Amino acid sequence: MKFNQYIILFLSLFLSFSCGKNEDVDSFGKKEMFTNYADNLILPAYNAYGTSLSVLQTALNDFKTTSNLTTLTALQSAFLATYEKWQFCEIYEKTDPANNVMAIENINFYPTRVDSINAYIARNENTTTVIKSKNKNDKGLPAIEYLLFNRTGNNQQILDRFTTDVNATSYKAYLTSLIANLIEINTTILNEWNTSYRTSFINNVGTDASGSFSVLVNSIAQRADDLKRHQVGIPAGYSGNVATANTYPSASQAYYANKSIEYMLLTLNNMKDVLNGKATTDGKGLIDYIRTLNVTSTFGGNLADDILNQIDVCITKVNACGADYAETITTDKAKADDLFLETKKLLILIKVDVPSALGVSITYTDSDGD
Amino acid sequence: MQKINEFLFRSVSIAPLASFRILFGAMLLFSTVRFWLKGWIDALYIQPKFFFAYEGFECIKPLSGNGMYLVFVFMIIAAIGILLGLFYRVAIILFFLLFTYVELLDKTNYLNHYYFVSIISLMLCFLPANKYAALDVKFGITKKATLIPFWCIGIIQLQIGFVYFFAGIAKINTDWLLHAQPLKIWLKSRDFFPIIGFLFSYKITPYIFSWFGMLFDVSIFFFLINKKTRPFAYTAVVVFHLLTGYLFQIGVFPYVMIVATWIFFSAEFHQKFLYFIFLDRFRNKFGMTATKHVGEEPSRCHPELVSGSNESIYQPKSASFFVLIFILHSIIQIVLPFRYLLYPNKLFWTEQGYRFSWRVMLMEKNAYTTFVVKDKTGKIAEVRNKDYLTPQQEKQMSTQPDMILQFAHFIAEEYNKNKGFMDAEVYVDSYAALNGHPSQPFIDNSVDLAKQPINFAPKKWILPFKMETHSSETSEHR
Repeated sequence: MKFNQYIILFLSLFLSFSCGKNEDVDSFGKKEMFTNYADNLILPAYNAYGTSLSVLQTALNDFKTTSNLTTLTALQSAFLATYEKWQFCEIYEKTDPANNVMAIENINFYPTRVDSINAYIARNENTTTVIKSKNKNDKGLPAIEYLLFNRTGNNQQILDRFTTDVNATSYKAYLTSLIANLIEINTTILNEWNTSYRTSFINNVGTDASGSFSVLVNSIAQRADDLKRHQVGIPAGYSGNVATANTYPSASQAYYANKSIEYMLLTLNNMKDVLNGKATTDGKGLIDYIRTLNVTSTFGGNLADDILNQIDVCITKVNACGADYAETITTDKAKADDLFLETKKLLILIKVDVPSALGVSITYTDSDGD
Repeated sequence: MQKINEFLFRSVSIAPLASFRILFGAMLLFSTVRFWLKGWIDALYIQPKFFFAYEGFECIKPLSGNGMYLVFVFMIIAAIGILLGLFYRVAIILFFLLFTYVELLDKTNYLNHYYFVSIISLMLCFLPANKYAALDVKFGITKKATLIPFWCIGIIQLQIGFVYFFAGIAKINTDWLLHAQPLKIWLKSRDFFPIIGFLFSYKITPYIFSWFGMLFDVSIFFFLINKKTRPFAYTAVVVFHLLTGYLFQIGVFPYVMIVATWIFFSAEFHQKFLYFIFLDRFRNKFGMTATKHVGEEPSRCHPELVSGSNESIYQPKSASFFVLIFILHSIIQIVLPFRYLLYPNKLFWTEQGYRFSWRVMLMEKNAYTTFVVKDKTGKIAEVRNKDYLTPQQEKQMSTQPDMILQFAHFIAEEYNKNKGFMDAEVYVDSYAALNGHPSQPFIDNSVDLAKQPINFAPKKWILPFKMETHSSETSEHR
């Protein structure tokens, strides 16, 4: 074919497309999807967590005024409500507002360092300023959990910490500062969402490093990674993907309150809802978008379906572990191994297949490609 | 032989080379300053704790302190020298050395157009690009020449031809032509772009782009050297590169090629161009005659025909030697893209013989790669990649086996030296997805990579790429 003809052919193809259809930009409704995420999922999750923090603060005040078993129990349940609400927020840890305050390190890093917390309390290092500067292992929800719970469930022992112990005052001060710190962090996150980030999140529908697709996929992938690594793997003695001879049951999330299994289920169910874009009503979500791409997963089925199925498989395996993950690791580790294997498969789907199908950049750096 | 000699050594106007020098210098200046302003000197050459050296260039290390900034200061000065044709020889040699040094520091940052800039800069070290429209002529640093042997221009044109042609050849594969991958993924994700975005929702669009891209790359050189088709070809070059530049995050690459292909235009055209960019009062300063100089047609430009006129001819003594070197270079350029045939397994999967072959925008590849270190005493630890690598390094490393191996060696050394491991073993668990194919195991996790040699031999621990049995195009939505 002559060159001129080939240019003409190309241009005419181009033009025929242009004349054909013009209204159908963003046929899927990406903005609608990210609006759904911001307004129906993300902001409500942080708001609910924020509200439960206020309730926790009130319960703490009551407990400090009258320290008895009744106020302690109220404080404990206010705390558990808060920790539970956080499970819905953690999946957004790589969105800018959470990433900027290092949400995971500051809010939910476990296992908490019991020895150093006790040492700080004994040394009266318990102000909010001190807490802010402390290592990730010494603060956040896991530190509060350690202060308010023990594995025996003997609440009198807990109450004694805050009443009759030589460091009782310091215990109370440390707890107060921990909660104040969490409130401050969440206020910062919410402020950023409400002032500027919401708009840019909704409008930045690209797949480049700063685009909302990248941010959301990275965030969910990070959550799947943390599920595999911290919630399931490390307590069961996994180093990376390699099983070791050791186990660390006390490294489980919410070990003292024995909520590991419950929170794994919350994590997985919430992940499913987030992927579906499902809040009180079922809106547009990533899975719906992935379904339009019609790609095959590593399991041979439709990627969208296989991800949701794999989450269900993981839920089944979590349930098989019984009510106490730490105990399962000690008595029936094969069940934890099973679970680990399935969470790893889930991670690969989300971390490798999804970015590949979407063409999203999995890193944050801005750089040239070729 | 006689004919080839006549073809290579015939005198032609220097104008294309001089105007190429100016534009190329301006482009180098722009991209070096841009690189600095983006903060990449710090991000790419100061922040990283570990650098992925090219095999055989392990001794090349970044400078400490503000050293890397100094390198870029000199590069900027050199680019200005090239642009103005001032102390040109020193400037171009300096630029080539510094630029190539920077590129050799870390495989992470390999880009085909950086390789191209290195090659062209090296060629320009030997070419008389400062003998016209240059301050060197004005200051008597070099003698003015208006005619040069054709090979001085031809070699650059040929190199550009290699770039396009092999980029086109590389696109002749099933992923690109039959499945329109990775364009199918990339275009779909850009369907919100203004004006043309709606095109990307059509199933046929990535196929049209893929086939057009392949045909464009394979044929554009021939249309550029042909005088009749040249204006159309250059328009196509501009449109093609601007479009890809608009769609994809490929930095200065489109501008590099738009500038480079400028050299294909005729002497007359370049003469006009030079007169256009130099205002009357500057012409003398740059060693150009005040009267309009019209380039010669090849048939009228044999040295004997123009001798005695006011033309000054540049004929280097060692011309045959240069030409020999350039022929050798061309042979290497032709052979290098095919070295992958020496390796088993799918090229895009193993990436053995992938670089330095003008393979541009061919892959959407993602991987999740984790490292575990063990030793005989029972110590075991998972490596946090980000403790040692920048996000960009980690991304590049996780999909490229030679970089995985280098990082494994580094990890072994690090754990032996600083973490009390004895003779550390490094195992890699990796899953990768390529061009819309589902993810699959990438690296054999039973092999201790710390014990695998870093060399060019086939890497047996890369697991074979398996084509899926299920088709991703079973049902149609559009």
